[in-house]
Amino acid sequence: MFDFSNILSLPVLVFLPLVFGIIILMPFFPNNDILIRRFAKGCIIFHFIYALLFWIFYNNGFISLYAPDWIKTLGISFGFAMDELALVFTLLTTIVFTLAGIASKLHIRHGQRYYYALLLFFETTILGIFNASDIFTFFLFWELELIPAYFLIAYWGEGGNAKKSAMKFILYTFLGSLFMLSGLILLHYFNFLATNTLNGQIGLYNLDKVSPELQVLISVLLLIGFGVKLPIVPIHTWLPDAHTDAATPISMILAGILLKTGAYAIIRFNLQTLPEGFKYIAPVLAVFALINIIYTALVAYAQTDIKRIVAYSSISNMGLILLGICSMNIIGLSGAVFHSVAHGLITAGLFAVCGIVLLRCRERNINKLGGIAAKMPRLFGFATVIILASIGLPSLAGFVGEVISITGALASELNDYTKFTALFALPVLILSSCYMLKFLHKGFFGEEGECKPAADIANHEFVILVSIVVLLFILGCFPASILDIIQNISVTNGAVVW
Amino acid sequence: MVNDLINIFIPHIILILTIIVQLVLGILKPYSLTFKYKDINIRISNIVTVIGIIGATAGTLYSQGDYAGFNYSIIVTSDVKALSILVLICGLVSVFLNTNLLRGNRQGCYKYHVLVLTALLGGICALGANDFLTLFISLECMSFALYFLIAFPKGYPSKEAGFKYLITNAVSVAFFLFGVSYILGLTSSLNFTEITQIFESERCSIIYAIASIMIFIGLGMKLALFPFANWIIDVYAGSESSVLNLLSTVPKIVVTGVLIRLLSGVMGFNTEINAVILILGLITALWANIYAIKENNVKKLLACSSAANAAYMIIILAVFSSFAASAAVFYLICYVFMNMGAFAYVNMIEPECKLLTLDKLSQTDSKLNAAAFALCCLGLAGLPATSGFIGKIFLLYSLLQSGLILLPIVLLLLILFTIGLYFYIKLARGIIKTKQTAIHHHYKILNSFSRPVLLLMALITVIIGILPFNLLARCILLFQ
Amino acid sequence: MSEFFTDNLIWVILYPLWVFLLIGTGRLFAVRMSKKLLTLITLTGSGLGILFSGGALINILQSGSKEFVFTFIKIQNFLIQLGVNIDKLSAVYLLLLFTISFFIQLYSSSYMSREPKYYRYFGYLNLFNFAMGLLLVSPNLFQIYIGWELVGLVSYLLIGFQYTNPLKSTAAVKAFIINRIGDTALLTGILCIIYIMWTYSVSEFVTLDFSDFNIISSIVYAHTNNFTFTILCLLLFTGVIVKSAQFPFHTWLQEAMKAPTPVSALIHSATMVAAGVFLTIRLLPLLTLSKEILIFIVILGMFTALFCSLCAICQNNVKSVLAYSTSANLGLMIAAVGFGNIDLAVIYLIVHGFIKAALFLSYGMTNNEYTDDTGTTLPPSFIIASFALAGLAFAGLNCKELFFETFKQNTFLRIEFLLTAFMCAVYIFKLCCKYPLAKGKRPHAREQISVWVFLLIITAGTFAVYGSQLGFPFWTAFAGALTAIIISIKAKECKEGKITQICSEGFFIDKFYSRYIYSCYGKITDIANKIELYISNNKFLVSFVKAAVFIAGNIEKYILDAAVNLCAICTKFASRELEHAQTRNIQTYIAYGVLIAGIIFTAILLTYALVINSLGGIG
Repeated sequence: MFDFSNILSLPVLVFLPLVFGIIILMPFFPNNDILIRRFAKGCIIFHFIYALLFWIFYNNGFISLYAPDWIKTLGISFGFAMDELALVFTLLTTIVFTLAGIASKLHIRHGQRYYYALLLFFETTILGIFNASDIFTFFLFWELELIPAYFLIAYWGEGGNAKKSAMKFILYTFLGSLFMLSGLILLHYFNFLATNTLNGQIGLYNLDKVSPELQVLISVLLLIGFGVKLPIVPIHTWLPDAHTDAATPISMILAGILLKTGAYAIIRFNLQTLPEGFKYIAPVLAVFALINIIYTALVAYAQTDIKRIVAYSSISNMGLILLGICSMNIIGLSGAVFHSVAHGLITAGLFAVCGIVLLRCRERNINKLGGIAAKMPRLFGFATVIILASIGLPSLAGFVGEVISITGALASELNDYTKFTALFALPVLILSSCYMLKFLHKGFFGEEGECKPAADIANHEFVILVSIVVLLFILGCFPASILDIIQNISVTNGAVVW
Repeated sequence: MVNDLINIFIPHIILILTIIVQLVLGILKPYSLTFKYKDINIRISNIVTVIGIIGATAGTLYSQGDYAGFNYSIIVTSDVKALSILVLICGLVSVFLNTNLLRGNRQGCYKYHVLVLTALLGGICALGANDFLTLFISLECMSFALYFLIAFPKGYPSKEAGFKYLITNAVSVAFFLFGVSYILGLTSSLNFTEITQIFESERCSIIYAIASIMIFIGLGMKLALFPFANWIIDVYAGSESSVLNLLSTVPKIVVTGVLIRLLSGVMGFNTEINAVILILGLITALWANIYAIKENNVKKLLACSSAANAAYMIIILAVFSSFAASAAVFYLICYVFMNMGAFAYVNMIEPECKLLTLDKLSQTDSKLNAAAFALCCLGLAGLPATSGFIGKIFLLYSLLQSGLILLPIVLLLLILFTIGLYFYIKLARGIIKTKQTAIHHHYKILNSFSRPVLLLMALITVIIGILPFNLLARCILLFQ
Repeated sequence: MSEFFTDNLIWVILYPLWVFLLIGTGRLFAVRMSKKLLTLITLTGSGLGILFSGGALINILQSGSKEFVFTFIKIQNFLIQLGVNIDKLSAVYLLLLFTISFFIQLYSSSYMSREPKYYRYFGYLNLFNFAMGLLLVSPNLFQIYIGWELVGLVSYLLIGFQYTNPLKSTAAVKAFIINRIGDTALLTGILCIIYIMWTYSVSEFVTLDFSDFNIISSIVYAHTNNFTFTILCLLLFTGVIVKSAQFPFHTWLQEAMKAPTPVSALIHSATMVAAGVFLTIRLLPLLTLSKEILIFIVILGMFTALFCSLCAICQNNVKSVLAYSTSANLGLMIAAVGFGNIDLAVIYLIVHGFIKAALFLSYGMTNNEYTDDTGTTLPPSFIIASFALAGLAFAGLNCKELFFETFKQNTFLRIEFLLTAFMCAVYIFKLCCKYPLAKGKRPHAREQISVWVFLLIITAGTFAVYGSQLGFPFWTAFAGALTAIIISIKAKECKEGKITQICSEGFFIDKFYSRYIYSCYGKITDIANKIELYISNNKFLVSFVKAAVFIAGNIEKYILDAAVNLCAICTKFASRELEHAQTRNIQTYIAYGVLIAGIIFTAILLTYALVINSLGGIG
């Protein structure tokens, strides 16, 4: 019997898309759009299957630490390792990229060669973020991701403002990540002072001797970086623009995964590595999370652009994830991770629906749409399920994530205020149904709007929506399938043996 | 240190010999201008210079160990050697890029080479200088050669640029000399070693602080630091790219090397200088980055980039430690290569456009060239997979290592980086052809060397970005 | 033998879900399925449901309740289980659900036969059966919530069934959001209980099983103060209030009447709204711990009964009257539960369910919105059922008597109950007098069967329910009926006085929601949006930096400017100013340089001078 676990290698997992992307860019690759598209799609699906093997052969522990020295002077290595947290996010990444790759068919009309190469490059950078075991490797990919993201938003965007939005996005995230860099450097340096070894492996950090004040400082610096990605409310304004102006597959990726890198980083660094400092920050952050949840839910209701509604709903949901993380216990953490996965799928599905509507009706203004349900019953069915998942209907994935996150926050042992934030966050269930049903009601119900759709969904769109809906059902009805792995994620770094 | 003139002066002698050969060739002009192959003189002079520079590099590498000569007025240590080689490499690269320039002035090709070699000679002398007199003379040797080089191309803009450089330089030299005279007055010595010994034992006075700041301001002009910064934009706008290639690298390397030496001894005994360096560096970076936001001219943008990057390097030196010095040198090396890449690309498209604006950047026949240029720009912005990224990490690391007092300054620096990113992105975006800018302009590359140079620089940028370890370890070794 | 029914009840509950998924998948791939087959499959589900729940009821009466659970969410010691828990209450409820649902499905097969979205309709009906079944057999509070949400969803889907009609789709959204408020309150309550249990419970896993609900209640009561406990109970009870359409959330039921008539019968009168009563019974161990809460429940129920009866009198539309009447009767049931008379509540729930279903279906027989909707006529069966509803005959009479018995300690409640019974007779007989009897219309056989079966059950119930005597309730109802007839004969229509108008508008509660709360919500969102626009348009990232430059360079010039405009002005100003500074004039540059150098030196000299001064001179 061939042992499959021998072929599982993290560097291959991370760099495989990059290699495929380079192949596409090579001069010998035929300059045929259809061929390029099919090849790229094949690559992404192949990569998804490869990532799936990691899931199948994962048995409690981490997979293949791969850490050659990179900058030895500072103890920095070019390291990859995969634990439960990374595994879940990796799988989500490959799934959403597969969906986005399939969705690109009708949305991307020019420069396909560069588009698919950048898309694959983008996948590499995001997987690098999730699987990095060294803080500087992490930072490398964190920054690297900006380049493909910028060009993908700017040059394949919908609407005239794409370049402006992309610039806004890159400036915001770049500034954030620089703040984060100074946090990482301080982390590295104080770890050196405390343990007297220069070392970049996240799992080996031990900051017990570092005073909580310093930890708070480092934590705040890091949070500015992560908060831009997540996003936390005052620094979120890049998101609606970028998500609205990007092409649909890119919006799916941005909302589905890019935001999750922020959540992942907060778990990895603030929660696991700097628990002492995070204890002081978490209650404050929980209030920010609450503002995220309520405020953006209100804003979402006032939008008339369907993509903007979805974009704001993403921020609102990210607030829930943040709230789960702030609880600093295993339930909240599991909820946050679970909801990250659930919301990744839901928001990808919602953007896919928006994209289909946009393609068919050439209109995003909700007041000009209407009566799509009659013309496109299949789309209507899928859209209803995905929207219901996003408002947290039981038996669909969104509900489980929301409930576990909020329960975690309620069970938080930090202080009473965190519990109250959790209670105040619950009305989001009402608010979210308000704006999402507005979407459904105005877009799909009622009499036909000015812009009439020509045909129902095409086959490849059908595949996307079906897979999302099926996954949402599976996650919603049998959350244990993934929670079994998620609940092994430790709240602190100490338990992880790297 | 061993007092050994031969070991010290091998590169200098080789450079001087090359200069003499060029002068003789210039007088003889072996092939008349009526010769069928018009560029033959350019070729010959280029080859001679290349051989000379390679010889000088080999000579630098030849000597092992530390040496001192002329009563400790010139020394050779490992850091001097490393920076000298960097200077020589920059000279070499600009020789490869000079075809456009020399075709416009075929008569003067030998003169041009004499000037380049003089500048390099001045540069490596200044790096090794261990007293103020030697330093002053070598720096002026370099600056004057550069002045003539800037004014070398035909036409009004280059003359204007050269003149501006000269005048600003003159004023800054006045500051420099004023400072030196104070030091001389205080210590009655010009030798760095002696001065260091005296200040180590004596209580420092306000005169000393002012003298140090004056020297710093005088040297800072060459990096386009505040207060003498404004020249850089006009001078760059009026210069030719191969000259700019030299102007943006050689003085930077030399002055950084000199400042590291001065700050580690002569000027390093007062705290005011650190504050002044920080403030001036930050103001310069702020000015350059904000100025660049509205700018549309590629050369002016690169001028801003040059000033800003010089400022970052100087800011590292404000917290003087051996790690900071090596971080500065590392940053310098990274910067030099990325910058040369950018100028190589500018060199390719320059002959076609009178005024090089952003929308003309996409006029290249090869997408690889464009990609390499974009890579260099992103590297200058400090995005990863390029050497600029590693340089940025070490820059911040060396600042933060010195304590949390500098955290506000680091945060300000972060904002500056972000503003910088804005115009670097504009530059990098320029390579993409859009409907408005797709001017079907048939043109051929005049200079066959600029493409290999560009690709090589991009490659180096990526290699350092991915595998920085060797280079960094060497940089750290330099200052231990 | 009857063990078999209990053990396999789970499959009967899951069966409608499979049918629903089958229909959904079939529609997705555009597979044609015959309508007959579909109807048959659906009816089989309900029929088996009747059989199995009946069998299970017999089994449970003999051998006690059954439970079967599996893990839904388990994170360390946080455990949520789903499963099947069948006791007397749930078995009775299931029997009611499947019986009504069977006949309504039968009825629908002819009623909706001309509807193009026939498949979707039957899919929803199946989904409803599943959701309601899930709710009824839930072993713990959490599963109740899941079912609670799902039935709300089905209700939403069915109200908005004719989604091309903007009125109906708006009504669906409205109903769903009001339901959602209740759901959220319920969820909040459940999570609070989970939290309390988790903190204080000694057992390894925290579950909210109904079998342990007495212990859970005592733990919750012991570890909360009076105020918190009241809030907690109110949160849970808000779910009940909303789902059972009690005051002040009864308005959604009016909106729900936009659904097809069989749906109104099935969901909005007979079964789903009764879930509130079911939950109240389940929660009784917790609620009884606080006397205030029980009193509140009784008062709320009785008040709703009175209030909604009053509203019903002034309605002109048959379905509206029936909707208000449903709220009123549910109020009575909830009051009965609050009084501790669970048996009465359950009996009346069943009786009322059949009566209401019969009323709606009779109305639908002659007024099909899919065929002809001209004028309103009523079939004789409507009048028979009206007698039962008013409490003049059949099982209705017995129940009203039992209510009167229950309230015997409290004269006030007794009077109030009699008033309600009186008004009930008034509004229902007003309808009977107002609309003509349908003549010459021959409804479809399947429709007739359903109605007559219901009527049969009601009649049979007369003998099953104990306590038939012609007491006070009968005479008040009789008086009410007489009044209605007299009024109708005297004045064909009610005069549109002010009070009538207010009553018919439901005391403007619905208007209050849509006009004030909705517009208030709109205003809040508008404000939030304005803030959002302000934040995102003001490029504060870049302008922040530029502001610093601006302040440094031009402090005298613009110092008086408003702080708000600062950022915007600086952005323009800084780059313009820097461009101006770049004069291309070498003298200027040198002037700048020397000036700044001078400033630096002056600053240093001054610092020194100050330091030396403060030290008291040199040396």
